[in-house]
Amino acid sequence: MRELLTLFGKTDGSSTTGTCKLSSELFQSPVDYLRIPKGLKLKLWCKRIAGNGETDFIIEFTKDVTVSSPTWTELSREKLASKGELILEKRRPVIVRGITGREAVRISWSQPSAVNSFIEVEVEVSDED
Amino acid sequence: MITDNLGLVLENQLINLYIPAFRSCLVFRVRARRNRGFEEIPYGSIPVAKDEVVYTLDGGTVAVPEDGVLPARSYTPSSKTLPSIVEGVFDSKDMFYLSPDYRNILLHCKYYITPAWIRVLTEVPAGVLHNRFQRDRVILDISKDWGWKRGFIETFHVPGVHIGFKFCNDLNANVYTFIKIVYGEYEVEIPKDPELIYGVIVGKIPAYSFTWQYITSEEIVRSTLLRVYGITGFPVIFEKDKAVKKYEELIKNLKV
Repeated sequence: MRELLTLFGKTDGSSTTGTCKLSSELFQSPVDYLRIPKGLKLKLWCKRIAGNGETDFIIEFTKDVTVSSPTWTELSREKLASKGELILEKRRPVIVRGITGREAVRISWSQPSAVNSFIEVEVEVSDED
Repeated sequence: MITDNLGLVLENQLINLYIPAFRSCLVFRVRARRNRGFEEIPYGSIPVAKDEVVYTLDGGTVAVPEDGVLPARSYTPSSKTLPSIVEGVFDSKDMFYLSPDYRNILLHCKYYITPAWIRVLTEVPAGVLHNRFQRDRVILDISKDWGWKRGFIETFHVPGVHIGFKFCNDLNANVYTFIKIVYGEYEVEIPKDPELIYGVIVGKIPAYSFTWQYITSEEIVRSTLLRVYGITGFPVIFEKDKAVKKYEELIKNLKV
């Protein structure tokens, strides 16, 4: 079983740090994070970043999103050095496993000054290696 | 070769439909494929309507936000059949339901669900769960950790039996859904040669073998099979002489 989808997130243009609302054409409404169904994997294959200035997009992971204050750990970081775009086609994906069904992934941003930046991530939801 | 590239059984090939509840098999020969070349149906979304109440994996219920959208971490209630997308069928609430009089028709359906992580299981008949563990100690529903498929399920629609579906979205996003159906409308007969039936059941004669998701016996299904076919299947017997003798008796009751 596998399903491919494109996740889209953006900075709010007014805060130097924050967490992206993630949307997709499959989602009826955006989400703050993706909780990984038990037994499945998320494979993050490709990132496309565009923005009006320097932006770090950080993929973060938590073992348990159901607790009141989840602990988020950095898993991957991509930097847009200045205004422009960055396309990262990976031969190997970033993989995050749903072992208990409580794991989750989110994308946050960090900027020296607040500007509008955008990220798209190609995600595969799969039970295969 | 028994099946085509869609996984549907070819003309003149045999089907061995094992029915766990009766420890028996219905053996069919496909005489014709009545929908040859027209096997695919872009059915549409999972049949949930705006404001319909569905259950959540975390306890409680939630209202469906939009037609065809399965809310985050939710699952549908029992007895959900697939409504027809065309007019004039036997039952507009159950597209693949056939009248018992259509005993020479067997529908073989493969359901491909988008997004593919959606859990799905069937209820035979609609409303009755069959996923059990340690005999009947534990009944597994779609909200449990196993006892379902993701993104795909296959079944045979026997005339007179309503088959229900349960769907579950264990991702934390409300998702738009879609079902593609690949089906074969088989014109079938049950072979009258007891040795051939024995050969199919024990695997000596090639056939498309499928285990119906019908584990515990329900009177309604038993009586429907008797009404439609005259038998509830050929019991699995490994001793050939004993099997052939039993099948000879059952063949006399066949209605198709």
